[in-house]
Amino acid sequence: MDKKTFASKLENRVFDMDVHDTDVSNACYEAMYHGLASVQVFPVMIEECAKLLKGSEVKIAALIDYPHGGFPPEIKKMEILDAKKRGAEIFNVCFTNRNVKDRKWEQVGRELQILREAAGESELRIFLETEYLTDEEITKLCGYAIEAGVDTVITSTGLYYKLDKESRTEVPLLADARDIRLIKSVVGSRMKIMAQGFIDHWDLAGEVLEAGADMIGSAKAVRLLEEFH
Amino acid sequence: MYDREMISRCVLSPFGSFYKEDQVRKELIDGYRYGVRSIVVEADQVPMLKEIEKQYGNGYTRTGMVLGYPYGGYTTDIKLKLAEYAISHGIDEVDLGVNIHAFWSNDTETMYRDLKTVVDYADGRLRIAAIAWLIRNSLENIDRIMDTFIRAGVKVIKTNPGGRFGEMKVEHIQYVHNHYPEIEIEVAGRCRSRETAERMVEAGASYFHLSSWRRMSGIGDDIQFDYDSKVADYMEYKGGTWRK
Repeated sequence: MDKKTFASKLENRVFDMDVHDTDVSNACYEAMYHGLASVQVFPVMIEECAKLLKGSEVKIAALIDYPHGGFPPEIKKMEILDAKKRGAEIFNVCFTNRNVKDRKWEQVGRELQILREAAGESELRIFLETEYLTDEEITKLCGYAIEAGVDTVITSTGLYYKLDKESRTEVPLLADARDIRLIKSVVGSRMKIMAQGFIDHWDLAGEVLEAGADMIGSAKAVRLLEEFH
Repeated sequence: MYDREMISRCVLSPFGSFYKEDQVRKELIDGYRYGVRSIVVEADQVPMLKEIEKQYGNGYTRTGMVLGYPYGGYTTDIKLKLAEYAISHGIDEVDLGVNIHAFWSNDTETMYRDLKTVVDYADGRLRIAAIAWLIRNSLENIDRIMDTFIRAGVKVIKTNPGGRFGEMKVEHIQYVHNHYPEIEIEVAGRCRSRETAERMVEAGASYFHLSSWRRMSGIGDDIQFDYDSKVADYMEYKGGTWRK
């Protein structure tokens, strides 16, 4: 894989709101300058990104019901339609994972259908939050996602830390190549996989790509490019 | 502070992705039985909360919903939709994420308009606790945020979006209370000891949004998620870590 191809697999993330507008515009400029696929932003940032990215090939991925996924599906649908109107072309949707933990598969299927309908022809992605799911839950959720026509699954919101039992310090929940291999074994080529979760250096990026990830979401996309080898 | 008082100052929120329904139910029911100050849920959990309120309502514990929480990155239109949803379901209060990105971009008026639109729509039908991001702002910025909130009609602030952003300091509470005594302060952000909570109450805090409300109130263990077994369960906090 060459650097240009690697760049096309990267999505530049803005996943905090306590950022200046230059952080958002810089994310857009970086994406345009380096040939990244897309920028991932909050709905309130879509219009400013759309102005900056007009005429470029960089797409805008809107964070929907982020980060907890607790809207009823009908309100998620509204948010997708609203984001579409403002200029988003990709929808990174936080799913109601509590329904997965409760094995409410009918509701899981129903929600996915509503999201698919709302996204229309645009790319629909759902956050799996693999850190909370067993292998069985990941497998089954991916199956429902394939059936509903979801385009891409994202491994994690990539926000959280866990308490390390030994050191008693908080460590980031990194993207896990093992989870990606599991997802790949289920989805094959029927859905894309986007890895996300503190992928700040090439080592982890290389690992997740080798495991089967098609894309990487990272706030350090440019650093990954610089370290690419 | 006696346990009873601590419980009455607790705000609990069982809406993490790892909760199972029976665990959420238990948290809600116990919240009412013990008499916490409020129970705050996600929009899709509101029907369950209202059902449990009918059975266990105690005349004190309020029903709450998160709205634009925690980052405030939803558009105002969606926040209004959520406010409409909360009001139509009889929710008492909301935790409101504001457009802090606008504020940080020196566009305080956009943050003001986002906030005022929701406050005006609620028109007193919802108690609105707006997230003030104290932990991430200088004292000068805190003054600007507080002035904007007051201008918009906010009477309650929630100090922080949550634990990921760091530990709330007593000094922050003291500053806000000394300069804005008319504002109620709900603390959120890693208040993990009873001693700290007591100092914060002395400094002017009213309520505490806590994941560890049982431990802090001296009534038991709280739900934590084990990332190895991928199961959430009640776990004891001892020696700086949680154990089953």
